[in-house]
Amino acid sequence: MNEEQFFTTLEKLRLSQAGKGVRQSLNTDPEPLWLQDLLAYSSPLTPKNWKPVGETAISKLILAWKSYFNADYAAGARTFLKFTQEPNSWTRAWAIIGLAKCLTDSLQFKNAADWLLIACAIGRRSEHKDLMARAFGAIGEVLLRSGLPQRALDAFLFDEQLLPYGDRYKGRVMCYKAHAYSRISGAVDTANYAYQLAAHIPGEKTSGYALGGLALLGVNSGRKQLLKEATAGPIEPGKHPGAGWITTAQAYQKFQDGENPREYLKSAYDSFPEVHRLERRWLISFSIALGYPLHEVPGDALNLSLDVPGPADHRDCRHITRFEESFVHGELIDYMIDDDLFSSNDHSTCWKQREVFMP
Amino acid sequence: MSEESSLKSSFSIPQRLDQPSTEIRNFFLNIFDVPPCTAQLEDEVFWIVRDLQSNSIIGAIAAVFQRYGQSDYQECYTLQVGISSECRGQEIGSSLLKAMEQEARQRECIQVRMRTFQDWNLVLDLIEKHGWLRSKARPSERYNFVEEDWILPLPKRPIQVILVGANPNGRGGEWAKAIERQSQLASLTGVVDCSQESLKHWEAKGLPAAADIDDLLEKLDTKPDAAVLALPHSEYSRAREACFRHKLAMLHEKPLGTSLQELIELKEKLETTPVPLIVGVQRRAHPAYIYLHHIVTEKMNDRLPETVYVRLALGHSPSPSPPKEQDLQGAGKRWRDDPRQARGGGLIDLGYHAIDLVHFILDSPLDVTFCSLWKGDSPAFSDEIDDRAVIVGRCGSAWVRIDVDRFGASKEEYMILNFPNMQIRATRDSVEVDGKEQYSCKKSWIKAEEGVVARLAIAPGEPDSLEFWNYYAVMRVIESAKGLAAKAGFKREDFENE
Repeated sequence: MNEEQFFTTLEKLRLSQAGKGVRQSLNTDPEPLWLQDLLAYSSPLTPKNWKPVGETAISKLILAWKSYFNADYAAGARTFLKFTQEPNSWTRAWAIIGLAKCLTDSLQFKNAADWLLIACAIGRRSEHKDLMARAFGAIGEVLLRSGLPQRALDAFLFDEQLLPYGDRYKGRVMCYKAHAYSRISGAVDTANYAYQLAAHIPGEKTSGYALGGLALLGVNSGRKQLLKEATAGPIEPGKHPGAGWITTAQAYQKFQDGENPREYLKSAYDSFPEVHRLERRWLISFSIALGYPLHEVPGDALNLSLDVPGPADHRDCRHITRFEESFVHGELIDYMIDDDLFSSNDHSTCWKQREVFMP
Repeated sequence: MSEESSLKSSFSIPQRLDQPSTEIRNFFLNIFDVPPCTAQLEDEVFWIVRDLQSNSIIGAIAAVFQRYGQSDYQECYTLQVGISSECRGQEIGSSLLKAMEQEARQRECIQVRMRTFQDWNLVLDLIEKHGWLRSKARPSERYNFVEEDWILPLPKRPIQVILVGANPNGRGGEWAKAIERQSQLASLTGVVDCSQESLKHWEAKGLPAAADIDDLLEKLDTKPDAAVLALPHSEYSRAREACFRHKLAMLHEKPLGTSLQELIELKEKLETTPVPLIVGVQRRAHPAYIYLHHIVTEKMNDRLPETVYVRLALGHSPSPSPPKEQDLQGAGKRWRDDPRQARGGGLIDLGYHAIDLVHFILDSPLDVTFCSLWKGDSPAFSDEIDDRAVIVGRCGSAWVRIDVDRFGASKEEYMILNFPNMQIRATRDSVEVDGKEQYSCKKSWIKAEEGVVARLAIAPGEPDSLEFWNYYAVMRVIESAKGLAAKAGFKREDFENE
């Protein structure tokens, strides 16, 4: 299979709900192992204990992405870093995006953005618009979490327009746009519209996050109706991380209404998967700030620090132009993940602090 | 008798010759290090100045007269200007230029043209002093430097111009100054403005003034040739109607229309009533951008850059208070803060310039990928006055980002073009390639505005369709950007019908 066939297959995969048609054709016409890995990775039916069968760069990168999704950022970053010098531009950029995502979730925003600018430039130069979309979307997330929602929105708008019509990531981008609007003054209605749309765009399982965002928007804007609409949605507590945010919002609303939020805090804690350690750690701090501490102690279980060098000497740095840089512009701040990060006893400060990690 | 006048009397007056002589050829060869191009041309004429004592040539101009096809338009093209080094600075060049200009006027040429090179400092000083205008600039193959084209417009008589929208402190005032500076090309014969304050200002200067074009024309003894329109955006349509009615040529400040529909109606009108129309978007006439255009279109052999970034910011501070109704009307008032009059903000104001600049430099229309409009820190609807606009799109293979800001921390204007192995950065006063300055000029708009007035003065009697389509293309981009921006996919109606 040559590169062109590979991308054609990938495109079909992306446009079909779960790559069903492609996998069916593979049953009759066996393909290289790495493609099987890629298809398995892209399928929502992949079992949790799945491991790649191939030994190629793509198979190894897939494993690194699995590490990222399991919040094992150190393992993911190690592999991604190795492949940032790959000869093939597509896999190189894919590795860089993975590395930057690990850095983003470890709150190293500046380093993440520096790497992502390279991925943007590679995607642009090689006309891989799917890579460009991913890289600019990831830049948007960095900007959003850095407290620059206006700049983040520009990156998400670009990401959205780069995706083909009907792409399954459209819903996810709409949800990110909604997160950005929800943090911009005077854009509550726009955020509401974007969340409602994101919750109903088929293709990817974004509705939980969209309803979670809608619930938080309801509390932040004082519009209880939005919180009500979010809780009436199809997301059951404990079944989706989005449910964690819905119940967190309910907890804060209860607290503001003078009621006991403990049950909602506990439910929220249980809704966040174990790998969502930042969310759980923050929730404990928040519960303490509200005066209803969850019984778990924070300890030092976070251990999210990553030692990844900046991309200063990377061969593709010279291809970054003002076009890419103009999306980032301002000063980004790296946060140190330690127990002091969420140590405020003031509940409104602590509530605001979640924006550092909640996209 | 002073030493200076004694020197002058030792030179002959310019003498006209129809044929190149060996003496003239040798004179040019002594001055220039390459053979004069006169050798390859026919029908050239010469003006020479001799030293009266030695009878040798000490200054000469070679020129040809060209007619365009079957048309009545003729122009004079200056081929070579040479002054002996020991006689420079003594008005010899001026007398030769005047002799050539006189013949060009007798032949009813519309303009004289000349090409110069940037190291010809004396000639540059001379022609600038004589009212020549820079029309093009490009890298020179000849001296590995910069060559520029100049024109001396020669209207049969100065055109009579009225100014519509005559705020003395606004764009109208700027155009009045440009016309005054170009008195050999145009004269201001009256002004139109809705503000009594403005009318009094111009009447005090002895100019007829009125509140509308029809009233002004009744006051004037002679019908003017053209109108300069510098108005709030919503007012152009009415002013253009009056110009068509009275068959006046138009120098139209941007924007040319505020919607595609308005432009389609204008096009139909131009077809039934063809009058000259020139749009005053000065960047196309500014030397730095003219030079940049030539680098991109000629030196790069039509290879487009990989990316382009354009930044325009005015560096003003926003007004601390929202305008009151009485602040929005009349000259010098805050009409730009009124959506009914301005029909937009940063996008239609600065964005218009930036989009046109991208079109001019890359010679390719911008295909908009996304646009965001901002009012303060919040997204703006497309019918609001946006402070800031971001437009991203493609011109051919080039990715383009435009950032415009009505305010901004400081006044900024630059364009960066990245090619695979080269970066070009242009501002209004320089063009740098990989950080090295290749071209420099004055930042001021004065020459660009004078160039636009000159185009109006020598405009043929009908519209230049390219002028119209250039700005149709800009409006198409603006409408597309607005559609994508409207709170990024949500229209105002979505919220109002809730």
